[in-house]
Parts: sequence; structure tokens; C-alpha cells
Amino acid sequence: MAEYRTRGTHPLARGVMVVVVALLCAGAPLWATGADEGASAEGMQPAELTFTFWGSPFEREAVDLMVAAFNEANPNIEVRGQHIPDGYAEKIATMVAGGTPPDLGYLNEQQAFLWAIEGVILDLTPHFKADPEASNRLEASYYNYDGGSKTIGTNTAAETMVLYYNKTLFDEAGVDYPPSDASMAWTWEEFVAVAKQLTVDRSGNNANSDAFDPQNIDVFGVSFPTWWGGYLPMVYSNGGQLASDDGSKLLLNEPEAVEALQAIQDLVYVHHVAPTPAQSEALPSASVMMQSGKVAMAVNGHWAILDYSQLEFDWSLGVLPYHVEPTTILLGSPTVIYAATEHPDEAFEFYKFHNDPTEVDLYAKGLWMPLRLDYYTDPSKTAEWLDAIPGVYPPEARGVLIDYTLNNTTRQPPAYWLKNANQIFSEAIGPAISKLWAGEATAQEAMDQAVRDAGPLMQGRW
Amino acid sequence: MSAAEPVKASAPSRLGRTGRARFGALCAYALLLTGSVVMLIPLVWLVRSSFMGLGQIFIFPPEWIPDPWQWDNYPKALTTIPFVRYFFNTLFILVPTVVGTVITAALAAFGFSRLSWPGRDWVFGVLLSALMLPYAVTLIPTFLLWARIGLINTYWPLVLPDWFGGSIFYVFLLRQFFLTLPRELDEAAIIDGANPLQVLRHVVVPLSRPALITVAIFTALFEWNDFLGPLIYLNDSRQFTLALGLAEFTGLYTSQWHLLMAASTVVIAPVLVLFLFAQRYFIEGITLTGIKA
Amino acid sequence: MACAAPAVLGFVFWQLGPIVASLLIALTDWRIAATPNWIGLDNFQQILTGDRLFRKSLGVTAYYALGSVPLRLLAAFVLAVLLNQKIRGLPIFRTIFYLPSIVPLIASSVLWIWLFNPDFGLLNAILTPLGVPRLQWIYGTRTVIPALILMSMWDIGPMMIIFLAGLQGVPRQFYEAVEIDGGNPWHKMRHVTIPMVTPTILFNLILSVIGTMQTFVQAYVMTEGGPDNASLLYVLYLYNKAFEQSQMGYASALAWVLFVIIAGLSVLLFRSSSRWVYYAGR
Repeated sequence: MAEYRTRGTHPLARGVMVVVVALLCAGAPLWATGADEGASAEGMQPAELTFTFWGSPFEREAVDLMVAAFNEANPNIEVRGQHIPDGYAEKIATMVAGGTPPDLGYLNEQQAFLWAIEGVILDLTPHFKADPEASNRLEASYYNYDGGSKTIGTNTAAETMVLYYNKTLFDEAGVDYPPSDASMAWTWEEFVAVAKQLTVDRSGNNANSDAFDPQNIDVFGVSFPTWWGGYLPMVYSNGGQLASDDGSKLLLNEPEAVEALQAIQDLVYVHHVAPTPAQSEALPSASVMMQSGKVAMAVNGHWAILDYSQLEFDWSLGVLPYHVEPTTILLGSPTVIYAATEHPDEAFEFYKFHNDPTEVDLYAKGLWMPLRLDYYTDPSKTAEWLDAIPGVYPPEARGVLIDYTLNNTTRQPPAYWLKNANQIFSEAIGPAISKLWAGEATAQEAMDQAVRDAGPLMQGRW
Repeated sequence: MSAAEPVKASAPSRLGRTGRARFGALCAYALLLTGSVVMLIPLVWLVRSSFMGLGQIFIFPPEWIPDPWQWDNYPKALTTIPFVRYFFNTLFILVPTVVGTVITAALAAFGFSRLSWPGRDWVFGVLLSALMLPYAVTLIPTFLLWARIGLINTYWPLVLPDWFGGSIFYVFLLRQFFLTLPRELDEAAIIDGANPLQVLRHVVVPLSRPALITVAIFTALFEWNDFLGPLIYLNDSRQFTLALGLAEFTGLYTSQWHLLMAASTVVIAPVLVLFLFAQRYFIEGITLTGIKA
Repeated sequence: MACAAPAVLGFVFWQLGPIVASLLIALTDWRIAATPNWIGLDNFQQILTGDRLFRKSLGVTAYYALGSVPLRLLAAFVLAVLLNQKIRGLPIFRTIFYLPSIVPLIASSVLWIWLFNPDFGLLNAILTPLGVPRLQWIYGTRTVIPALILMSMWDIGPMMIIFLAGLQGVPRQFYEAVEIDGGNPWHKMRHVTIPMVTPTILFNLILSVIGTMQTFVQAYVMTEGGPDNASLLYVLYLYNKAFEQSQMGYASALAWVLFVIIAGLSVLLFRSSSRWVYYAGR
């Protein structure tokens, strides 16, 4: 029994110790310090700026190149790009709380407004006023606050909502493609009729046929996203609004909005031309489903062109259907400069540079749309992004992305101006909308619930 | 079901002793095989996706054989992030963490189980409370603490706490095992002149191998996959770990699923090997833990 | 006492401070950026009297935990018993059942979203031909929590390993004693295995209660709390408050309410343990 003393150190344990010591020695420099290199002692020190951003490796690569180009062109400024692909909110929150925010970076718009009010984000109004070229941006891309007198800046890039379609499925059904010109846009009824022709069950009957079996659908006419990018253009197009302009009241239960929302729900449960709207937008479901020939049309953002252009099938894009007025929305999220930066002017230089289409190839690759007006109005400039890389933008893209963006985005989504929008969406609108898409309430019932729940949350405009 | 009785499938004489035993073994196999298929789906799905083009991964109806095999997903994924550097960075954190946790958690568990002192269980309860607050609200205060000490952008916040018992989770786990060992063992050792540390090292530890290895595996896996810790404390991409690198592919706006799948496969491969290797010690544990009367 | 010192010191150094800080933050309106204002117990009053989503999320979490905890414990235990026998391919089986815990969450979430898809998913593709009505899974208010519970059943590897380690610690001569008394396998299970692993059961029970009550990621990635808040797990609600709405003070108060609930449950379980947990070393 008294054998507890007889065993020496296990060979495995000894081996582990050796490895530990070796690793600790090898890794010693990594423990002491991180980024403190490069502080040169010679004369003028460049202004150092930290720029935080999110996005796929694809976006990171493009942004890294842009940062390098900027540093090259501006020897007096040294920008360090910090890519935070996931956990962005947590990371930025700790940086801000720790008193060490970045100098500038992407930011969720509601976070940006809140922190602008609290003095953490810089008001860029003076910078834009002093620089006419920089301020020549799409009106709808500014995030203004304080009664419109101040601004946290503009979108990082512009985006609009469009209608993608699979040309082959249209050809097989003998149906005309969706129009790419807003003046020719389909009315909602025309759109539903087309969707019915394209929806086919497993026996080959389309949704107009008496033999059509809605429980066994093989190809759906259209897929609609669940979030506001999908339904807001339809609500606006029907003359509805999400909230009153003073931000005091939700208006989603008014007849115009309810009608537009009910029409979308009916695509799923009455007409059986759309699949159950799936929750996760991060999945490439719509584009790949379309490639697989399971969905003929899909409402999605312009950014999806990047995905579509990598999938090998015959696709294109058109304008959205409409109720009263052809409408899409301009959306995105802002890049902001933090008030704590020691170099606001240098930061603004980079601000102008970081989404300049001549420096970032994400426009040509179909992820971003330009902010500056001349990239829409000057034909040689439009070619710089729409024609730069063959096979990215289909020929129809010009009509859908130029005139439609300039003329049919008059109403800014609430993200640009509605105070407390994150909470209103997450606690009142989101739950009601998801109930609507699940088919467990009518648009009127769901929106009455949303308006009731939003009541105490409405706080006006930023 | 024949409980923990060691049925030797390789010894037909024993298996064939009764029809009931054979039936039981068959049932067990049927259950395990069915379960295995369900459990294997994610891995199969992951690995086959890692050889597919973007379009084929989500195609409907699903396909299980890549066509064509896209071998270059791997080189592409491996060059998107500096894999080798991140791998060694992860090891720099992982190895000291695992060693520290196993040693100090065993010490603490010993103190909370086989030694008695006033207020022992009460103190244990307080320590356990650290697991009961969601990280979302302790994240910023913890960060501020390390920022105050000036250790942001180093590995210290990720390693040092593990040399102080690590997560109470592991202390609790070991405590439960230490408590199952018969008290007479300690007493016999103490009569032989052993001090408590010697009892721990020469009596308790050898008898608790499966539990200690479990702690080592869990710590290693946790560190391997830990995303939030490195995210918050590290700013310089040269210091990043594999989990942070993997996040490059999993971010909100990603579209390169085929590369994500390839990178994920590379990241889990060492874990699989480690696990296959480590679980051998569970078997070894059977003979070691048997008390020689 | 000295043995436990590192753990106690570690707690004091790195955990006590943030824990106390979060309690203080709960008494303020802190929004991360500006200086917080002291508002006393206002947050707690709002939570307990005026917050319908607090009650909703607590109910959702309780429902999820009541379904998930017992099922996972049972499944992990049965599996561990099966994998504690000397059977062919044991290392492979153990590894396979641990697999779901190794696959990166994003990959498995994508897989589950696809499995649960009402129109294109594998589950409905299998069930519908068998006469089961077409289920909405994570897209229906009544089915979303059962679907998440089903998904949680799949990730029982760590719990299984802990049970396995516990089973390995059962001295063999106890079984021999049962055999000598003419006992059958059921007797061994009933009178040796189960009593001897009660400390492990207690551990897994308490830890899975603590962990399940704080479940977050699945709902965050797959359902965003929907539809109609039917999967608004407590910590998801709290996370939204903390990082989407920057209401760190309110989120901290929510965390402390949850803390009291979890601590209460843990104390109850510990208290009850003297009646059903057997420690050979006590």
C-alpha cells in the first residue's frame, strides 16, 4: 500500500516541462510588448492614426492596400488598420471605456449617434464645410444630428436594395426579365403574376395551375429578406412610413404600411410563391438558391453582386416592384472620427481617402457603391466602377444603380435619424415582423403590437 | 445494459457466455453506430465543403461529393492569414495555461476537498459565483483592470489567471473527483510520514488521472478556441491567435464559405489528433485507479 | 488552506474587482462613453416592475433550461456508460461523440440553420414523407425552443467526458463484490455505478444549470431572439442591452438579477446534495 513514494516524475511530465521552458524562451519577445516598434527618434514624427474596420478577408485585403497607398502618399501620416471581423461591438466598447478609442473607424450608426451626443465622436460639419469636393456626396448618405446642424459623417460606402434574378428560369418560363429602369418598374400585381408563373411544384405545375401543390414546391418565384432592407422600400413605395418625421410615433400600423407588409406576407402564405423568410441574413442562401435554380428572383442589397459575380450562372438585376411610387432605399453604416484623436485634420484626410473609388477596388468588385455624386453623373466616372472589371456588373446594372439611386431614394431609412432605433427595432418592430413572417399574425395585428410596444421607446430624432 | 462491466468484445468466449450479454452488446453497438452517424454529419459536412466551390456548398438538394475537387481552397485559406505564426502564438498561450491550470487547480481542489479548514465550503461557494455573472457585464471592468496594470497588448491577461487556479470550473471538477477517493488512503500515507503536498502528489494525483487529463483537455480546447480573450486584449495582428484568425472568415459580412470551411478543417485537425491521443489515458486510467487491496 | 490560496488570490485579483464593479455599474445609467450618473435602485425597479421583456426572457430561458438540462444529462450519462466498456473501436467512438464540441460554432450553426429550414431543410425532407406535418422549426414561435433544445442535445461531448472520468474512478472490486453476492448488471448500475458517480452528476447538474441559464450564442446567431421574442434567451436580451443599445448600467442590473437566480438554484442543489450524493472521501 505504501507505494506512493516509489514513482518518480513521469517522463511525459518531464517532456512537457521542457516544451514549456522552450516555448517561453522562444516567445519571450511576444510577451513583453506589442506594437511599440517604429517610434523613430528622428526629427518629425508622423501623425499616427488607428483605423478600425470590419468585413470579410476580401474587404480586409482591399482596405489594407488602400491604407498602404495612403501611407505612401502621405509621409507625414502613419495609419494603422486594425481589422476586427467579429466581436466588433465588444472590442470597440472596451477601447472606448478604457479611454483608448481608435482615431477613426467603421461604427454602428446608433452607437455613433449616441456617442456623438456624449462627445466621443467628432462633429465633422466644419471639415465638410471647408472642403467642397469632400462634401459633394449623396445627400441621403449623411448622418446628421442635433436638428441637422451637426454630422457624424457619411456612410463608408453607399448601398441600395435591388431585385436579382436567374435569367435561365425566366427564359424557360417564357417571361420577360424584370425592368432595369424605374420608369418601367413592375407594379406589385405584375410582380406577383410573374412570381406565380415562375413558381413550380414537384410535378411541374406552376402556381397559376389548378393542380398546383403548395406543399411540394420545387422552384419559388421570389425570396424576400426578413429585415427592414426588404420591407421598407415597399412601405415607402406605398406612401407609408416607419415613423413620423419628428420620431415621436411609429406609423407602421397605418393603412399604407400595413397594406405593403401584408402583400409581402401574402407572397408566402396566400400566393405560395416565396419560401418562409429565413432569419439569418449572413447566409448566402438567396444567391446560392438562385444559382441552384430553386429561386427565380431575390430582393437583396447591391453588395450581393460580389457574391453573384463569383457564382457561375446567368443572372442580372432589376429595379424593385412598386405600389404607388417606384422606391428603393440608400443604406450603409458610417465611418466616424473619434473626438479624442490628436490629429483630427490628418484623420479627415484619411476619411476622404478611405472610400475614394480610385484607391479601393471594392466598387469595381461589386461590394460598395460610390458616395460622391460625380461617380453617378459623369459617364467617365461611372465607367470607373461599373466597367472596370468585366463580368462583375451585368449590362442592366447601369440603369438600376445610377438613376434609380439618384432619383428613387428620397426617404432616408430610420437608421439615419430615428433616436433609439436599435432598441425600437430589437424590442418592438423586430419581434412583430418575425411573427408576421412566421405567418402567426396578420400585418395589422403584428403592426398594432409593434406600435404598442414601441410607444415607451420613442425618443424623437437624433 | 451491463453498466461499467468491462465486456471484452475481442474475447468471444466471454461474450458468448450468455445470449443476453450478446444481445446487450448488439444493442450498445446499434445505439453507438446510430449516434455516431448523427454526430459525424457536421464533420463530414465541414470537410466536404472545404473541397467545394462556393456555389456547391449550399446547393439544393445537397451534394456530398465535391465536383470538382477544389484543392486550392487550402492554400488560399492558409495564405489569407499567417497560419504558422498564429499557430505558434496560440501555443505560447496554450501550453503555460494548461500546465498552470492543471497544477494550481489540483492544488486548490485538494484544499477544498481533502483538507478541512474553517469556512472552506463557504469560500468555495463564493469562488463558484464567478461563473454565474454573464461575461457581457464583467468584460469591460476586467479589461479596465488589466489596462490599469498596463498589460494590454500582451499575453499576460490570457495566461496569468490560469496560474491562480484558472477557472473555478476546473477546481470544482477536480474537487468532485478528489472527494470520491477513500479517506483511508490519505490517512495511511500520513501515518507513513507524508505531508499534505506529498499526499496530493503521490496518492491523490495518480488516482485522479482521468480527471486531470479531462481538465488538461478542456483547458487546451478552451484556449485553442478562445476568441473573446485575445480579441479584447490584443491589438497587434502579429500577436493574434488561430481563433482570431479564423474569425477573419466568420465575420458578419463574409461570403467565402469555402475558405472558411478549409481554414476550420485545418484548425480542428490538431484538436482531433490531440483528443485521439489523450483519450488513451482514460483506458490506462482503469488499471491505475484500481486500488490494489 | 494554503493549497487553495492561489485560487482564492486569483479570485480576489481578477474576479472580485469586476464583480463588484458590475454591481456598482448596475446602480448607474452608464452608457460606456460618458461619465455615469448614480441612479440608485432605479434599474432594478424598472426590471422588476416595468420590463415585459425581462419576464418574457426569463420564461423563455426557464423553458429552455428545463428541457435541455435533464435531457442532456441523461444522454451524456447513457453515452458515457456505453463508452466505458471495452468494445471495439472505443477511441473512435469517443472521438466521434466529442466531435460536435470541436467543430467551430459558425460552421455548425450554418449546418443547423440548413437542417431546420422549413422549405429546403433536411429535417423536413425526412419527416414530411413520414406523415409529420411540415414544421417551422426555428421559424415558428411554438417550435423554436424545442428546436434549440434538440440542437443542444447534440453537443454533449464535454459532459460525456466528465461522466466517463467519473466512471473510471469507480473501483472495480465494488463490482466484484456485487458479483460475489450474485447481482446482475442492473444491480451493479443501481448499487455501485450510480451512487459512485453522484459527485459527477452533481457537478454536471450544477454546471449545466449555470451554463444553460446563460445560453446565448445559438439564439444570437440563428434566431436573433425571434420569432416574436419566442427565443429571447435572458443573456441575449442582456447582450442586446449592453452592446447594441449601450445600456451597460441596465445590462449589469439584469446580470445581477440573473446572478441571484442562478446562485439560489445552485445553493438549493448543493443543499439537496447531502441527501443523494455519496462521497467516499467524506
